[in-house]
Amino acid sequence: MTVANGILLAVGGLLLTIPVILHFLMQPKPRAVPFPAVRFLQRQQAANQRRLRLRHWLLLLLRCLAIGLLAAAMAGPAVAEEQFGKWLSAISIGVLTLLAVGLLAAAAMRTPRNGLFIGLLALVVLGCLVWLTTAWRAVFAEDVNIPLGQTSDPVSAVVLVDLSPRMDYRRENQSHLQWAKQMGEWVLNQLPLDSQIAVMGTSDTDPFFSIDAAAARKKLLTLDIAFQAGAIPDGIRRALTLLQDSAENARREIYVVTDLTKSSWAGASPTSLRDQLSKTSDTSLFIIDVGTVQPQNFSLSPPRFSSTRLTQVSPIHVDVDVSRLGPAAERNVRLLIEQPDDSRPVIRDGQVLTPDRFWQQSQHVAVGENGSAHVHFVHNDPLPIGILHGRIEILGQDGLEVDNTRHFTLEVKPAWPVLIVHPADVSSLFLTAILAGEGDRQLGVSAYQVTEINQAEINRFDLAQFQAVFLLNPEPISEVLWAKLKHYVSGGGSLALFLGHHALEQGEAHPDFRSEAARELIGGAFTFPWRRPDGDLIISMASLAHPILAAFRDAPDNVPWNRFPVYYHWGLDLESPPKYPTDIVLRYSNRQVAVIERLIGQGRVVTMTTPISEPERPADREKWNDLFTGMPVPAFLLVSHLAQYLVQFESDTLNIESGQLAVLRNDPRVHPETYALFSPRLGQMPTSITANEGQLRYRFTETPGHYRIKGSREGPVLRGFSVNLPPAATDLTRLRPAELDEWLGAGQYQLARDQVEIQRQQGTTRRGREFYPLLLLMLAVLIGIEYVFANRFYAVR
Amino acid sequence: MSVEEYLKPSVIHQIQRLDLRAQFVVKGFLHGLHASPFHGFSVQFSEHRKYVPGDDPKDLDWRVFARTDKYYIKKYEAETNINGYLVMDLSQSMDYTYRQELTKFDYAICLAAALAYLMISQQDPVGLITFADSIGESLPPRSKRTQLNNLLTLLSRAKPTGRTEFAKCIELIAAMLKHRSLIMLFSDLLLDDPQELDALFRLTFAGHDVIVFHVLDEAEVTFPFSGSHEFLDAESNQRLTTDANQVRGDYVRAIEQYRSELAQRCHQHRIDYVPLDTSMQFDRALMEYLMRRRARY
Repeated sequence: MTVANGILLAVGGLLLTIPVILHFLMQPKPRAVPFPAVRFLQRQQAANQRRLRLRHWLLLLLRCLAIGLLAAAMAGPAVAEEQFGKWLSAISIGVLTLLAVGLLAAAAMRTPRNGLFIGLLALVVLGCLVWLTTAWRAVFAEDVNIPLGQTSDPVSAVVLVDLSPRMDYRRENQSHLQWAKQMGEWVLNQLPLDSQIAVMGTSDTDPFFSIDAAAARKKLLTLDIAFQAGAIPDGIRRALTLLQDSAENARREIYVVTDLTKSSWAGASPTSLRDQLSKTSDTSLFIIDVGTVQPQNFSLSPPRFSSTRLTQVSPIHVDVDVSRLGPAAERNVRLLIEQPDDSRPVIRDGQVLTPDRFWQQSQHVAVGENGSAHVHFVHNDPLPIGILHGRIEILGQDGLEVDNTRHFTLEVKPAWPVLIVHPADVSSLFLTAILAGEGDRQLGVSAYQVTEINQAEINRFDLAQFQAVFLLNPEPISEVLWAKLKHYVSGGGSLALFLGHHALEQGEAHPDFRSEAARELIGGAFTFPWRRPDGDLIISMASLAHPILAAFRDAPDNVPWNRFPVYYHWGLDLESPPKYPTDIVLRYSNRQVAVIERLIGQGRVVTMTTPISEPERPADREKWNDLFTGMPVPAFLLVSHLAQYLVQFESDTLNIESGQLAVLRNDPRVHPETYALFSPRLGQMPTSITANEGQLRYRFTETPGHYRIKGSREGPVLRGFSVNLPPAATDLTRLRPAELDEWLGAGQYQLARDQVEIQRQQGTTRRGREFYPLLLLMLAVLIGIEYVFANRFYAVR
Repeated sequence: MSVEEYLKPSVIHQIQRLDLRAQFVVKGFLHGLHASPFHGFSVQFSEHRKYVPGDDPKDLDWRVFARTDKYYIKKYEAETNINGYLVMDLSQSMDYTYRQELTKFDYAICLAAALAYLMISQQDPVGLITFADSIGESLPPRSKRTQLNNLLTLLSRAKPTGRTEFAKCIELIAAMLKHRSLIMLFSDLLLDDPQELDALFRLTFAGHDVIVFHVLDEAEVTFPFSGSHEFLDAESNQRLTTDANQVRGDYVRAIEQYRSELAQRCHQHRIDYVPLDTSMQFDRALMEYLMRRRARY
């Protein structure tokens, strides 16, 4: 607590002696009146005298209190805003205690005495005293470290401005950031002279105090939207650290200028910030809301494509959602796909020129109030092989423009050549259906170019021309063929081996599948078939770490493998220690190996210990599994992803979110080593990037748009990727007061929307909350009570 | 001003002469009786008889003489006379008034005078005895008109002073009275010892009829004081400083209890107890007297 004028308090203390002196020296003499029936008055005389004395003392107390209150009010006591509640509670409890004591005294003086009532009152008084002691101890225990003083005393202040993309929302022809700057400038102008000022954006990781107010003002004006702006809680933490480490003034203030959208308040748990603020009670936190209470905005969701496996004739299906915040409205949505131009991007006259010819189409969409609408585009024109950039955009004016455009990049590749090898009595129906459906093949839109041969013909083919070779339920393989397969794999080929009943001889594996060559390629020797005719053996989803199994990771427990049992599978005696890197991809529910992968040289071998080519009813033998019976979705997914894995159909991640690391594979056999990268950032010249360890990496991806990468190797090589803001970055949903309280702690901050509120709260924070009005009110009440009592006691008729 | 107005002490207070006060009070009272259920209550002349030598010439009815040219004497209904004694308390406490109008004593003598007027009008002999610490003036009962003048003269000369020796004085009065009488006591009965009242009961033992007019000041009944006061009883010289607001409740309860105790005790001894205060109209006391007289005779 601080007192504006301590002398008045001392004078007030002296003035307290006046009523005491008056009480003893100038007591009003009772009026003498004749009254013959005095004898009837004498019966209660003793009690009446006691009561009279008590009343005199009560009046004395009231008058002393009145002078004390007057002196206290004139002295101008004030406490910190945070402490005011506690002080008020303590004073209220004090008044209650006084009342209880007064009641107790009155009850004790009254005749006849009511023992029970007096006892109860005594208990109440005792409770009040304990309560009072606790309240005052709480007040004095915490009334520290909160500097109060004059408004003009210099302060150490940090102005933290929200730089999120949401601050680009326009209201009254100005963006929220412009409003924030105006407010920030006003705050800077009205800070006391010689104040220490730091201006920081939410993207600043290392804030510092400016040399003077002019430098701080200059920095404020240079702040701009940052697509990778940090969360406000992190900014507040950094501001607190700055004040703690470098503040020179006792009084410290943080001004956070923000649109108060929910997305700005993310990051570490609210508890830690709340606790940090409660420990730095010498710092006042002002949240200045420059946001729009009811914003109106259109936004586009990230686009979804029907397939990332585009070939030259693949149609492009694009789905996107148009969301509306505010009343219902209509807009046109346009899809633009750049037509590749080998000569662009190029710099001419200091300008970066990009392809200016597009395939485009647009749709009209009506969106309901706070609703969303779905838009579907189909592009059927043939596509050139290579990288395609495009964008979807909402046409027309909007509150927040940055979320009206979504950029995308697609890669068109030729179909992968694969070879399917199987004995004459084995069907490749399922595998060919998975790799290239008949319809796709006829349309020429299949991702795979499938060649299918009999096992006896394999020696005639040069395996190197195929990206992957699938051996379905092979018959015994000669040493020569094993060697040929190993040579193919070592050179970078991928081999898939699905072993079935053809490997069986007299109840165990044919010697060709137990040979050294087979063991070296597979990673172990086949021993004998495991038989589980009851149908209770299934593929286990216990471990899904391998990339082949990525499709099952979302809901592994929901994969209905139990409807597709395995009756026979080969037992595998694993090589120990393995000669080449070996990984068990899948197991059966009996823990035996189902799928095993071995890396040899540049290539890989994936072996499955049960076939994928079993007919519905095999003749002369038992069926090995029901993996493709009924609707074989799990097996279809498994083999499909296995095939993609084998042909290394791993698309580069061409569409990333702002701030993510962009990584593109760079094959030195076909790609150049050095490129020029054209960033979508306005006015930025291309930068040079170099491939390293087969990868191109680029991490400065804050700005949404197309990042075009241009190299040269026997002609221009055009690559690239797209960056979009995550949907949360443009979510204008406002933070609720309760959520703000959760982050900052109720009473630990001041929320203001305009300058008047800020000034009032600054005054309250700097000078503290004054008791003057409260004391005057109490004084008025006290004078009223004194007047009533005095009139009642001394009235003469 | 109507005749009934003379029953109000505040009006009577403005009349200085005691005889006029008595006359006005009685006239107001009788006027009220005509309009009341007590009309016919016999204070009128019931018949006339012929004048015979020896009759008091002033009893001649001159209006009858004017009509008939014969002398007739007014003959009252109640031919049987009773001796009435007005016993007046002259203690200093009787000289108290809060409103500065009629003191208890003024009220009492006004009432006594009215009663005397009424009684003499009915040919009832009435006498007077005053007392304080001892017997003061006394006037034997007479029914003549001159008795009223004598009685009023004595009353107007009387001054309340000194302490009361109530028991002693009442006993002396009892000893003084040889014939069965109607004793009308006017007192505030502020006695040091309530047992002194027992002396009054001896009068009833002796065959006297007693009416106690307990006259208190209005302030002694309602205790209208407020604030801190020093109360002084000049008779006992007692002083008491207290807050009137605080004691009012207790005092009023105490005085009511005292009056109810008095009423109860008087009733037990066939004494008529008439509680009065100086704000009350006089008719109540007069009615009490007439009721008593009719019941008895």
